[in-house]
Amino acid sequence: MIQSVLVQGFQPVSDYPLLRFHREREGIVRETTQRALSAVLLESAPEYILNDACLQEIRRLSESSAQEEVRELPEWKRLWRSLGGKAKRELEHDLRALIADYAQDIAGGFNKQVYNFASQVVPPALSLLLSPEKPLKLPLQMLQPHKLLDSLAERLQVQGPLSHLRKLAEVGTLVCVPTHLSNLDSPVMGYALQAAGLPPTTYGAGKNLFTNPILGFFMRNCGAYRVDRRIRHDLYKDVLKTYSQVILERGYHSMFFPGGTRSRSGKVEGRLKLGLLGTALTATIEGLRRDAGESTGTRVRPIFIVPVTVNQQLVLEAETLIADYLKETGKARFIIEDDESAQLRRVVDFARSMMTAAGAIVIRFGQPMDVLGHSLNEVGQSVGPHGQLVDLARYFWVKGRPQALPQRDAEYMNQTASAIARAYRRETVLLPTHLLASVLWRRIGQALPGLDLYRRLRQPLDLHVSHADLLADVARLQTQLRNKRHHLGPRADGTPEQVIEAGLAAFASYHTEPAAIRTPSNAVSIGDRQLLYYYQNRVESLGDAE
Amino acid sequence: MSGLTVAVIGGGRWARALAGFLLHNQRRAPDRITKVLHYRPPRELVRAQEDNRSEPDAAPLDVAVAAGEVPDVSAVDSAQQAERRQVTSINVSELGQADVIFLAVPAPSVRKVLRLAAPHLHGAQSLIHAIGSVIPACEEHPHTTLISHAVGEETPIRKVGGLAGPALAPDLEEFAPAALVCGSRFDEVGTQAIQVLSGHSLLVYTTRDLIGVELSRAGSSVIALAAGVANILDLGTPARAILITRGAAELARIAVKLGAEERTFFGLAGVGEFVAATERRGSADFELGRLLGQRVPLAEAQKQVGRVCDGPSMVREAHLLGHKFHVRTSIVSALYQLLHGKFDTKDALMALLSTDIHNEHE
Repeated sequence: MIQSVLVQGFQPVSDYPLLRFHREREGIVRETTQRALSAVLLESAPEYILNDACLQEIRRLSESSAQEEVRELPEWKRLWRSLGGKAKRELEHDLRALIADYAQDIAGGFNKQVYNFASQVVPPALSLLLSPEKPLKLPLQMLQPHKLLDSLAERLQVQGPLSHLRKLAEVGTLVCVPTHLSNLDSPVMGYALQAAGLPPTTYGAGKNLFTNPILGFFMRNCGAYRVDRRIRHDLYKDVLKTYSQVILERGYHSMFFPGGTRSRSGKVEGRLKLGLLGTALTATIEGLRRDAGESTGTRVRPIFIVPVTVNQQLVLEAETLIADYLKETGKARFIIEDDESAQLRRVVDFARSMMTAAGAIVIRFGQPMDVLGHSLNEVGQSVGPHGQLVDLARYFWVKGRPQALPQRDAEYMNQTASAIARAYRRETVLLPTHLLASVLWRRIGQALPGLDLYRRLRQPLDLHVSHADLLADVARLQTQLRNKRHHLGPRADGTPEQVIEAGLAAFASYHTEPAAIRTPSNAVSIGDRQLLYYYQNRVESLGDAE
Repeated sequence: MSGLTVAVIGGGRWARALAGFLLHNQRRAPDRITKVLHYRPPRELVRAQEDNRSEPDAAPLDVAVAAGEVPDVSAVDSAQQAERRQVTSINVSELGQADVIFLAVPAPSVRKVLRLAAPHLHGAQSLIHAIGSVIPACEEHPHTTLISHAVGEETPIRKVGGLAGPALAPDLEEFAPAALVCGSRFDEVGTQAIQVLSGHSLLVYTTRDLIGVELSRAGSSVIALAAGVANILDLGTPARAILITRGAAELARIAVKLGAEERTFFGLAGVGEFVAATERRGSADFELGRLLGQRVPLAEAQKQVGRVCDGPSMVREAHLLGHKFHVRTSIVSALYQLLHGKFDTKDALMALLSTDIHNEHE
């Protein structure tokens, strides 16, 4: 059932929900506003909600500079001062206005022309720009754009039960949940969906990514909505979740990164954030309630969760991310704005090395599941442990009728999150850099026995591993991983010689200081140990218990 | 509150005691329990475990009800008949009617029974088990499995709970004061357990620490076994107290590695149940310990006890898990040696009560 395709010419889906987004946008903003308002008013009174939002925003904006804010500092101060003297109706009016502003700020956009332009022109242009060939050859290649695409195709593989997913996209709404290593993951995922013949998805992107005028223009018009992670108060989060739920109910395929942020350590995510992911469950319950006549509205198509692993031979921001991770844990920054992805030069260097190191990215779609983690049959019905059909609605029954129940639903979501985390471990594809880093890191552990992580990273060490030892180590690791049925990607599945070759070439091609270098005597010497640690974490995290 | 239909799966003494107790509750509070169903899995599924037991294969509820005190009916005989009329023995295919299912079958047959029942179960149901054991690793499932995990692996049911606490089968049969803790990640399940189980003689508490409840109940057979050995050697109450508290500490250390909360082991589900299980009355593993203490070989001792003993397999599991997680286990290790004939009783006893740890919280 697993298909593996090399990315080649596109067979884009011609009809998909995002095409009608521009017509529905205003309605979505209105519905989000209305529903978020009723939901928060069920929990608390408007003066408390506004008071909390004002105080948190006043503090945040006093401490940091404003950047594309929904409300400026003086406005917040004015609103806060006025709260005491207002009647309930005025307060509700203020609250509605604030929620509407947030909903308007979050809501994305989709423009077919811009999207088509981006998806058809950008990849060949990218290939052209990044071509490793001599500049003299370029004019020749420009006459044959498909050749450029072929070269990109070699670097990007898409695997998984693609035909099953294509069928599911017709009968239901897909929620793709990829692992997250790099800011490049969302464009790469967009590209992969298209290559797999799957419809484009809407997705939340950090507001900081929209500040770049060109990138921002494309993101705004290719289905991204804006998530301002600097805003910490509950009201904003409620509006964001409501928006996500509303678009899921309306059948827009979506994408969330449930790790919440890029993996700092390079490990495969084990703990997932349930916030936005939970909207897949709340939207499902709303749909079941409509089916049962408990709630009104148009029918909600079934929602299918698709775990995806994005596996990269090299990670653009590796150096910054691992350095951040190794700083006192807990103080790690949630939002990093000044990493490699913000430096054009590094992005170009990275892309160039991508083009020369084959098999650089593998995107692997896992088996789709319903919101409770059940498997799905060909037509999207939920299937229990021994293949029998299960009736999803019954899981939400309260006295025979589907109904939301916060504690129960939170626990359901925990279980689904575990199922996704297990799928990540199963579906991770290891590449030569991961294997090479793993065996070298073990050698470091042997050379510096009994030391903790920080000393292993910093103790002076001049370690050379002979070619023969390295070959044996790699072969042993490959056998171990194969026995545990982990996936070895292109070249990682080759001979140990090929793994070492490909790994060293990749390390040499991009990072400031290579993680490992071949010596003149054909041994391999240790380079940047933080990077070795980072890349080996991918392998190590597969063995982690839940 | 709307009434719940309750089903009990199992043919052993616990299952019968539970069904009898539920029937009694139904008679007292028909608004809480609409119906009590009883499903006895086919003998061949559980026979392997029960074959050598001398326990009579009684009719489903006779034993349970006969011993029961029925407060509001004067003639005991007619009360029994009335209760018997209300019990509904069902086929596996009728399990779908139940809102709450209690599972009380021997651990080795859990998967087989669940597989048989799975096609008839659905997501609206809750399943609460009362099994004092984990499922040992086997070829098909290479890790020790909690009963609650097996339910998730074999059936569509998600809302799972577990029972533990100082309530042995005779307590339920005789309506002696007793208590149970229902552990479940779902608050709904705890509420349902209170609705159907709590009554004038039984207190029901709830916790979200399902794993802790399951493991402390599984651990009680280990403690009962140790206490049986200590009992036959006439060591007195302090020795029993040491086994209970230090045993709880030891088992808790292992359980925490599996995701349990330590404090569960020092509450009703842990120490509470251990106190009840280390009395002569009721606990099969306690009897087994007494026989082992008299140098009766394990196989012979099990035959003499004639009831399901989870102790030996739980000692083995605890020993292996302790090893796996690098947890010090003095009581478990001593029992393990004893079960494998490597210790003479005197030595085992010394080992049971000796330690090189002197900080109580280590």
